[in-house]
Amino acid sequence: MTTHLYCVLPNERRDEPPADLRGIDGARVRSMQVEGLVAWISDAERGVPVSIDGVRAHDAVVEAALETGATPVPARFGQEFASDDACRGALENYSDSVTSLLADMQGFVEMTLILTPSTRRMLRDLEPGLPAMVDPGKPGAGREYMESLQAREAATGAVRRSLDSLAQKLTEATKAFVRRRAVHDQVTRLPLRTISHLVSRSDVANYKEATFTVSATSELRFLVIGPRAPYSFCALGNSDTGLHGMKLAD
Amino acid sequence: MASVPDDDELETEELVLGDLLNHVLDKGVVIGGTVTISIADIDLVVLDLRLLLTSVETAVRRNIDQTLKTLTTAGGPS
Repeated sequence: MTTHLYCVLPNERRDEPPADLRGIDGARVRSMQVEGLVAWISDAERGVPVSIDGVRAHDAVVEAALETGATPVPARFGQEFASDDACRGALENYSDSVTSLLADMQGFVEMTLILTPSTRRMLRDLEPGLPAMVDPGKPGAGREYMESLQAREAATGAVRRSLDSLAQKLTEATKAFVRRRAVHDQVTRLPLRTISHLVSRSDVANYKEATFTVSATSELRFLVIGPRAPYSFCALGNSDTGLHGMKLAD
Repeated sequence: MASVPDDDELETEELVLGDLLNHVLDKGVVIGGTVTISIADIDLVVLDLRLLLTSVETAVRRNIDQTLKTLTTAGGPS
């Protein structure tokens, strides 16, 4: 059995998590006092497999922490420790960074913009697969292959430029409410754009309203997701970027 | 299951789930066979391949390391 870390909260939030809150594999979530902060943890089997259900359970705990009114610093999925003491030790090793990050995040939440082609057809047409192989013995096979690559690049390039343009408009419209900005590498290679903004809780409504002033096109749309915990702003000063929640353990 | 018309908008839920994975997971993590997300019927393949490739690269690297270690220990190939 190991200890799974979901997030940390300021020391003032010493209350136990809601009694019915369940984490990964339905485990009860509990709080643990660490120097200057509170960690939300649960027991977990060693080597929790990565799954959609697991990710959702992890995020649900972090969201519950956000609902306390404080802003939690979320841990990256899979931060697993041999015991509660080992988890406490890891947090204490980063005590200054975590405490400072927590203080920095209070009063703020993350808002995310997803920009995407509008329809399934468009996205499928832009599928980034390589063109079908041509018969290498056929005269002009090399040229045919390069031309198909070029045609694909022209199609995706036009969409990417449109996405850039829409992203620029949204950035301009929301800039009064944005404290920090992060851009995620996409897990997929599809032409989506994800932009995360750190926004004051009191500005969330204004931020959303500002996005509504930007018109999507018939080819592109965007979604506004949030408020959520600041997953994209969790750098602890170690080698990790902190773009996926804080990382203490390998 | 009824097919979704190509001109339909992408499912918001799919995009939101994709974004959640993007936020919570590091790309170095290998997603198992339980992933059911798909966007326009193609994302599952790309997502899976990308992450699988990460794990394959790691496995290959480990194999190379292990092979080199074995060769070194054995005093090199005969």
